Amino acid sequence: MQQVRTIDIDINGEDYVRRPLDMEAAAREAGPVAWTESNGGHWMVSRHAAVIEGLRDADTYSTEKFLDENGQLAGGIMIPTVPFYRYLPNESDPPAWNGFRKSIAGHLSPGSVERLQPVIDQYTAEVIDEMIELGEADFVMQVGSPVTAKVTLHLLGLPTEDWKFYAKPIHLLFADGASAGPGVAAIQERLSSTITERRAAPQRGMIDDLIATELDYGPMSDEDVKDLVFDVMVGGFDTVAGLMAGSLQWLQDKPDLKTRLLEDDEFLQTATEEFLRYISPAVGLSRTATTDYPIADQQMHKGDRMYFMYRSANWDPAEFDEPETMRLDRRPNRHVAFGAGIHRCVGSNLARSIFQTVLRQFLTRVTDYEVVDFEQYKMTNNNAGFARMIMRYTPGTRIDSSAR
Amino acid sequence: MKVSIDPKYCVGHGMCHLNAPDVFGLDDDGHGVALEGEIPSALRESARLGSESCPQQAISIEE
Ligand code: HEM
Ligand code: SF4
Repeated sequence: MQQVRTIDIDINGEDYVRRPLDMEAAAREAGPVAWTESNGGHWMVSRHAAVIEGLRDADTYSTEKFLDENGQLAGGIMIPTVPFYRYLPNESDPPAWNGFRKSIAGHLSPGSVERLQPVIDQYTAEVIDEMIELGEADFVMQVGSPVTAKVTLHLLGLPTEDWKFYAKPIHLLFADGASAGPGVAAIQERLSSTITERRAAPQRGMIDDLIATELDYGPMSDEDVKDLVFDVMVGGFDTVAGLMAGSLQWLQDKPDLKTRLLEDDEFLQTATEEFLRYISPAVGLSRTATTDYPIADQQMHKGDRMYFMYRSANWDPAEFDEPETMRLDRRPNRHVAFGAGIHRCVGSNLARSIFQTVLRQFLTRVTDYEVVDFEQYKMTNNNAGFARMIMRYTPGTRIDSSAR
Repeated sequence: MKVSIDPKYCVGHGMCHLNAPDVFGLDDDGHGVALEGEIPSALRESARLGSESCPQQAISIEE
């Protein structure tokens, strides 16, 4: 083992917000893994091979929150630890994780998502109808977020007309940093009361299946259902919206590629993976070491916090030829935009389907859009995306999807 | 040539199937399922591409 390699990067600092890609390149250059003293001290796992190596064995790390020796809340997937809410299955470890993951995985499997395709088509058409006559719109909150939110609410068995009640606070959570405003508290309350009602009078949605789930040690608690549903919402809404917005912004002056994306299914598939790699909506998330174990040439110690840098891994020149170049036919493309190891995104099938559906319908119906203004998220160490992306376009006509 | 997926590491990225659908399928949970037995020579290139594309490095190839 080498001696501890250190680097001076504050992932919550001004510099990281302003020049994230430069800082990530600096971290990779320093080595596959390096220690920073900022934010209480933690590892930065920046290279592709190291991220995969470090997350492959589930028993070497934990995502659970716990009270440290001073009685302070520690651990979890963010640095510093966020006290507000627990994300499930994200902030659970095996064996509990197995049951939580299984309870949602079936609803998000390739087969389930395929069955959901007509619903995705319909909400996409409806949402585009709502903005197509306007001539100018914020893509993030008028297309990307509402389609994802409506499809997710439909799947959960919650009223889709309430999409804004959920999507707005979650958008602010991403756009303004990790502070949970009153909107998130309201979501938690609404979910709790809905779960109580639905336990008494079940309907037919994913939320009802979750309520009825039997875990190894007994029935799933209301609290667990709430945390699972919240994770499904937070995991999807803005990540998918950000991926779409970033992709459309990049495509706006590339008519040949737009045409090819509409006509060539295989190209759409590889392009989806390349947009995911290049944009990396999930920038990085954290773990706590449960044991002493090596990642690359550095020794982790039990209790160490580790920040796994998905975007940095996706831009690692040792893995990707010319990573800064978007190559829509790149293959193989072993990106880790959905993470790696056991917590790797359970919503990836749904994310891809929604992304591809919206991309195709939008490019078909809004042929001449132009991004006239945009603003990125204020904080960048967990997620990359847009507070807003204003597009201008020639107004089109509705196709009145409500008649379907 | 034979291919196998180590279930300890496969977490259902589905990239094997995406890149080499003729060699790798997916089960109901989205985990990779490799073609059993000897891989026909026409599919070897595809098998290599599929295994290289697995982000978990869960697929091994026996030449
Ligand atoms: C492009 C869109 C998306 C990206 C980039 C993305 C990214 C990720 C990443 C990186 C992780 C791993 C988290 C970690 O390392 O701790 C993850 C986990 C997760 N994602 Fe996604 N996600 C996307 C869409 C979705 C959607 C649509 C859903 C819901 C339907 C979803 C639900 C989840 C859940 C529940 C987890 C936790 C899984 C577990 O702990 O076992 N995600 N996602
Ligand atoms: S790509 Fe790897 S992890 Fe994903 S399904 Fe195939 S074998 Fe499993």
